[in-house]
Amino acid sequence: MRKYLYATLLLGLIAIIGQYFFLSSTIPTPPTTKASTVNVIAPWEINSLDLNQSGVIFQRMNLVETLVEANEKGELIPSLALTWQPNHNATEWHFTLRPNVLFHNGQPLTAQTVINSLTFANHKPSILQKAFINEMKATSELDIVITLNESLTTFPTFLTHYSTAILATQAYDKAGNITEIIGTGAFKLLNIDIPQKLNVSRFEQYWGTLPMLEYANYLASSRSETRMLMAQSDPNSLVFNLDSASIERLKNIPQLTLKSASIARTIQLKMDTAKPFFRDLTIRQALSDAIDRKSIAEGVLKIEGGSADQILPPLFNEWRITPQRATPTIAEIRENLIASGYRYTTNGQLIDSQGKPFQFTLRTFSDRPELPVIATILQAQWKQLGIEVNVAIGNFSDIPSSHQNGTLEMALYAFNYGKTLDPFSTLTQVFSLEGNDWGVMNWQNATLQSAFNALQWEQDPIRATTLKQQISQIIHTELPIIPVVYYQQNAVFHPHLQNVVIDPFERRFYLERLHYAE
Amino acid sequence: MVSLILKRLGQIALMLWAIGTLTFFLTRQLTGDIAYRIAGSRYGYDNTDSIAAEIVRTELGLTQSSWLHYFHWLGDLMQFNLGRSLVSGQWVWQELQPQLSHTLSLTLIALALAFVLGTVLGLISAYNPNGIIDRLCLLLSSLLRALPTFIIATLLIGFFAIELRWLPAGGYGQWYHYILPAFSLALGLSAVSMRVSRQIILNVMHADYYQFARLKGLTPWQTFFRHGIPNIAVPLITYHSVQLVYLIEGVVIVESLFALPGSGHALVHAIIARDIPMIQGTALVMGSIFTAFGLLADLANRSIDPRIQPQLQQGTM
Repeated sequence: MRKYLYATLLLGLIAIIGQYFFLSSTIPTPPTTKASTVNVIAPWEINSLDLNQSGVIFQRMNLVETLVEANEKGELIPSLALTWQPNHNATEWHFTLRPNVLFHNGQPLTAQTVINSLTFANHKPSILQKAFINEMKATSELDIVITLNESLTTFPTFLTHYSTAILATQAYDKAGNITEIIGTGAFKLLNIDIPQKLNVSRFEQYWGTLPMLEYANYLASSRSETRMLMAQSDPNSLVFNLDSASIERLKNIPQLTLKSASIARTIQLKMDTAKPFFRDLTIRQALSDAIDRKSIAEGVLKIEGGSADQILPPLFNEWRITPQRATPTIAEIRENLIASGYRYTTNGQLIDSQGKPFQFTLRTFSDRPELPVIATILQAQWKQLGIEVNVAIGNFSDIPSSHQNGTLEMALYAFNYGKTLDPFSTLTQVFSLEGNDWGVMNWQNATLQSAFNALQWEQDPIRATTLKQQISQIIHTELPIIPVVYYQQNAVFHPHLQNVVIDPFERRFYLERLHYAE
Repeated sequence: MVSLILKRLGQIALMLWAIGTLTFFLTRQLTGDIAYRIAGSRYGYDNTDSIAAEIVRTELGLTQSSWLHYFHWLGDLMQFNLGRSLVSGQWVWQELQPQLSHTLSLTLIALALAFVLGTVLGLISAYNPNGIIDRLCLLLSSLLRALPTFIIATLLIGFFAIELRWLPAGGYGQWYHYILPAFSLALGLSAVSMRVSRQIILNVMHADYYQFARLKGLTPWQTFFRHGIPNIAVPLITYHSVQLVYLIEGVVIVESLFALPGSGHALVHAIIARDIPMIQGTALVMGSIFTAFGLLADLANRSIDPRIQPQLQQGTM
């Protein structure tokens, strides 16, 4: 028996270690009933407690709130701020806070707490740093004045962003790092397990209408297949972001409901307009015309009505124009190119008047799996015009870094125009005079810049709409960036879960509206 | 015993240096600008531009030479400091602890399941070689071995989570969350384990010493207990300790599929984010655990089979 002694002791040791790790890997789950809980499953991981990194999840889970809120149409509505008012040139903004708002730790919301949160947010690379903030001061217990260095009529839209959410003073350490999520949302945090999970329960002292559900759980799962399987197996699940293959499978699963909505993201092409060929508008127009957007959107990505005929998606109604010209056929595009001085070699290659062939590298990345697929489709479609495209699939950093070092020819990527609800701020960066990592490269237009400048201080809605249309028309005509497809957000759930709303601005899950059918 | 432990500790130290050095230089060879990758993971792709990348580059001193970073890392390692994650800013060890809990729990449960399944089915097969059960086990093990872990896991989810709704398709936090992931790993592992066990048991049962024990008048159970188990245990323990490599490989897929926040899953994310201290820390800890399990298996074998001792002393183990 002695010879088994060591083996038994070792096995015992392994068992004790195993039990220790097993027990520490199980998490106390709140007491929930199926009728009062929703399990949200989405691909976005919780990287840390920092609002810049994970605030989007805290905001979607109704844990934190911003001063200004938005409805599904993108219209601003009061949240922690009841009212806001600019001065005559929109350089000074006066916010009045909602009274009787409590944080999850029982502390009241005050002007000083708000300034504390916004100051910490402004010291990090976030959207707020692009809002020209000069000074923030509390003028009373519930009044704040924010002074800007420049006129900005869209300033309140910046305060809808998740990185500007308001936390209690006790949520920060002395260095301004967030150590705890103490917000004012309709749900309070029960448990967080970075990077994948959090549990929340209804906050009974919430200032607004209380949610119908008592609990909500969030689980990050990066694989679309897993999310699809979870949706099938868990009747309380609300699953976001399925890939096109999973959406196709859904057609054979009648027990699940699919909801889709167009969001503020566009898959687009940027190019260096200083380089030969690209500097010619005829070429840019030919490249745009040759894209079969409908086939890419509906045939490949399964997005109905996803063809991007202009840079901003239908969500931004005021910015949309009605394109005048009909899309020519491939034969007509080739004729146009010949009429503009280009020629075709005997093997069908497009060359310029000096005999230089048109060939370039299209950079994209695989973080979004649909991008390489679209890139190769574009390669095939432009081949019909006699253009040789080399598709380089790297990672997303290749695009900004090759923009910076000037080696970029063309890039395909997805871009979010709804970061601050109103695309104005994003557009000014994308089409800035000096160019932008995710925007134009060596392209400038004086009329566009003056329209941006005028819009920055324009407070008359009619004149503002005219300027927006003018901006969209210039971008549409000049094509320094070519739109391809508009993205769609989708959610899948069992039909007994009612009132599921997809936020086109990807800010909210609208948990407060959810309930189960009787 | 002490010399074996010291020797293995020396091997662990050498291995830690080798793994850390390799991961350090290999991650530096990955394509893409590291500052942009880290900024993307920190602030989200939508907020990542050259300004955010520059902030990261300055903060982390990424303009300094690789060698300087390497020697800093080596100095920290000698003080048992794995550094801080470049993405979250947390201590690597602090981040690794919960991840390791999931991975070790899953690995140990899968290994135990594979050991039990493989050994029991191997024993049953060996009891009547080439009989119906043996042939069925051969068919089963061939099928399970041919299926990748990903497919086994998907089939298990399809049946137990979607059809029967007995178990969750993913997630973690409760003991039952481990059942499907552990079986997904264990089934593939037990496929070979059962054939190995069968062959080892057959070899032992047909050995002269085993037959002689029976002739001495020992009962079948006494013979199996005194002469069978010690001779079967050594190769079985060795085989299963080596299979840890297979498990660690499978863990990456299974953790990702079942949304378990373990080390394999974290390693993939750290590689995508170019979080070098996290990659190094995970590789170091996984390597140490693998070596530690090897050491435990050696010690167990040594205690069971005294013939191993002189070999160890000669340095052949």
